[in-house]
Amino acid sequence: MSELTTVSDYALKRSKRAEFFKRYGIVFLFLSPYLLFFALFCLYPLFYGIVMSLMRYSIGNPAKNEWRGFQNFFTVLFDSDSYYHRQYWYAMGNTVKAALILVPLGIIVPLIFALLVNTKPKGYKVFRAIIYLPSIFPVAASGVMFTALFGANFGYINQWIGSNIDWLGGSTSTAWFIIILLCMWGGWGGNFMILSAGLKNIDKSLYEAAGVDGCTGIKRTFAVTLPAIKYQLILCLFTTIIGYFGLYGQVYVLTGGGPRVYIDGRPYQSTMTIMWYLQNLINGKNGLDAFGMVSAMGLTLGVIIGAIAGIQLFVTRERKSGTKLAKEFFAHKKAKEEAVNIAENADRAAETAIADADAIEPHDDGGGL
Amino acid sequence: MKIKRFLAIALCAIMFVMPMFTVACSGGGDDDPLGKVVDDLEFNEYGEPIFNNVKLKVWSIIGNPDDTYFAQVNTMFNDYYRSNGVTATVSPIANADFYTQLANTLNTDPDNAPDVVIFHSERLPMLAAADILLPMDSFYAALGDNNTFSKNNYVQTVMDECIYNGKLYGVPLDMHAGVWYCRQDILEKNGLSVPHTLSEFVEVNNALIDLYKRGELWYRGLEKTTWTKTKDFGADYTPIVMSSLGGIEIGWIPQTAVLQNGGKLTKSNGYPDWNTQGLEDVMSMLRDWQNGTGDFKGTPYKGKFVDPQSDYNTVWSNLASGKSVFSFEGTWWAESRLNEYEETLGNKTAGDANGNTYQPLTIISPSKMFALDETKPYASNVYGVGHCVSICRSVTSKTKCVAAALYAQFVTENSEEYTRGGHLPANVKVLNSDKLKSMSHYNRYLTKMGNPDDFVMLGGTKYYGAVYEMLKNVYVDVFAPSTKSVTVKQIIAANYAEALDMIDAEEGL
Repeated sequence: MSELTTVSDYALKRSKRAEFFKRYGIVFLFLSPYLLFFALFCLYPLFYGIVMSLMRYSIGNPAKNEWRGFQNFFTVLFDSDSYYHRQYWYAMGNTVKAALILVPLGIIVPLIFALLVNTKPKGYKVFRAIIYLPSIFPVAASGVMFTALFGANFGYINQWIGSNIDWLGGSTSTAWFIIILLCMWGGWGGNFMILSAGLKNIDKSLYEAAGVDGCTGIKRTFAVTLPAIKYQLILCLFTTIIGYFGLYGQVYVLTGGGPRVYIDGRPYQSTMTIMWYLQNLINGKNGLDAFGMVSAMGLTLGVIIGAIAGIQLFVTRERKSGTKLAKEFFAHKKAKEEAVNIAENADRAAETAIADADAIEPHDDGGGL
Repeated sequence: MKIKRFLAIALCAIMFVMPMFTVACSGGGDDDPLGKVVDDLEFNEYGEPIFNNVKLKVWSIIGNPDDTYFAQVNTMFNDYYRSNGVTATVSPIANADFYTQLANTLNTDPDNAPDVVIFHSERLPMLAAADILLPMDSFYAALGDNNTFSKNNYVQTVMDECIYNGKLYGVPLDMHAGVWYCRQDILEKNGLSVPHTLSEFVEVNNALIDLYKRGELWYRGLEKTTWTKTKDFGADYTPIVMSSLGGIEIGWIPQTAVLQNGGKLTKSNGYPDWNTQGLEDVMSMLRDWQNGTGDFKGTPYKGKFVDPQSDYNTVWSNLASGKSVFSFEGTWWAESRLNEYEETLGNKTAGDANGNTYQPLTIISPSKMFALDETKPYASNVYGVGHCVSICRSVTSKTKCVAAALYAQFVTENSEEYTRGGHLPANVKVLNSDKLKSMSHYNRYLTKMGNPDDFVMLGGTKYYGAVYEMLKNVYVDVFAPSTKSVTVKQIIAANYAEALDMIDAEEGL
């Protein structure tokens, strides 16, 4: 059915359409490859995971899949008698403990390196390269090196110090020590680079000003350097927390989750992290039907990490808002001063005008009369 | 803004609807996998099935070094059946990936899923319960008078493991076990005999330690052909090397310990049944061997039998250096290891200048080697693992199913070459065939693996992980330094309880 329209309406519609495609078409054209892959490999798996988490999901036979509602989440979160609940929270505990040690170390150690390298000692570029070097090794390769170093029988460390310590399988503490060592050694490079870049960009005049005020040495580091790289530190903190909550590769290559310990009459893998546990659940050894449960566990982990990140953002935002308030205060003060100035100027102008008027008035009166 | 909001909502909706749609579509399938098989089978005038260029994709878990021998059997099949229109291509898949890769491929990429799978038969009930496999009885029955397949042609215990809910889901190919590898040359040089029972084993180890302490132990490494008397192995000479963490020991020793002392691995409902006194006694004995304390039926141990620091690497290296005389490993290494020792140290079976008639390395069946009472009928039991050949539910053509069933029958009935890889054939005809008995490896190591009738399998449980993996953990924890303070009884009780919890959790899903 045709519709009558005026030439101007038609032209307007056409030009709007053309403008739309001109404005958004090119954006979509360039974004579409990314959007496609993002949707395919990020969004789709995420939503699929959510659907799976609400089901008894069997990879053996999807015909037997059943909706379970939030039962999987209930088991993970509240059913303390359940094997899944017990193992999940034990693994979560291990992960949190590891993160509590690794996150501060993972920021402080690279920070110290960055501060030292930033003083630009002789050959600092070599040091910089050496410090970053471990980060380019894949975890598997680093793991092989550490296994060779700390192996019980043929380990170099045992041979050098003449001991026969079973570093990786002997006790929980030594196993964790080696895992943390590998995490640190292989992980400090990223934070080191971020912090180094931050340090390089600090305005030199700040140091000069601090120097004039008598602030030098360590005091200057705390009073000038660290506040100046605050945003880099926040970024490092954010990525390090998320990274170590996903701790998996180091555990896999070094200890395989072991050594085992017995707590309340139940065996546990003492270096089992949450990611290691989830991976272990889906390898088929515990049946082929646990995928819905694993999805629920994964999402719960995601929410926990999200909550931690949210808390962190909140805390840092509060700091940011302090500056913002100060800025707003100064802006308000400035605006107020300007307003006062304007008012004063206006008053002055008015007074001048009145004075001028007063000066002219007798002539007018006289002239008028 | 409106457009942006609309796009965001649309994207989220699509992303949420798509998985729902996928799940809904995949969930509406037929519960009976046989229901999807289309009857397209045709016969010629002789009542034989007609195959028209049927290509079977076979996934095999059989790895190095025995995969080369299975490839020979597969070639035999292709040579025989190519003219009939059937060929098979084998793809080896790593053990660690096999089962999840199989399930994932069946669900997400069925076009590339295998038609035939060769895997460890103790996992068959788990796969059958998940409908990953097709029951095979009807495919053999479809051959009518041309059907030559019979379950009775296979060793009973292995065949039993291939039957789930009364249906045949796999055809057993072989059975195998871990065995003791023994430096026979060292034993003979020191005037000792190869042990074949637990008491003999203890006696020989005590004698070796005694000789070592007196500085009268003759030994030689694989690199040497001259003998030396030594006290160079440190304060604790350990004639046995056993890997405590990984390796083969965990997969056979605790299981065999249960069976040789009158226990069972599984109950009729598939639940674990291995928490026995026999297991506790044998595991306590192994811990004593590691500590060098305690006694065996009143005879005290003269030192540590087992090196506490052993791992997978030292299993072969200690044996090669002569530092240890016994190690526990898989039979699939028999041919290459025996060759290695005989090529270096010489095969003296014909008798050397001193009249010795040893092979430098030999294998000892685990039969009676973990039995506390060797007179009991069950003392000879050996825990066995088998490979079997099954058909995947990805096959929807009856013609292909029949071809796959014939493949399973053919490779199991012609597995003589494959047994070179240290596997006893599960097919009785092959086991008793003159062809096998005339092969060089038969007397060299196959007969030393134990009596096929003594092999006992896991017992057909669909709770494979809970039953088998937790029992393996018992062995690990008995040896592990981190659990030294936990008693063997506590270790068994805790792992048994954990196995039950795992089953409850699995059932509760």
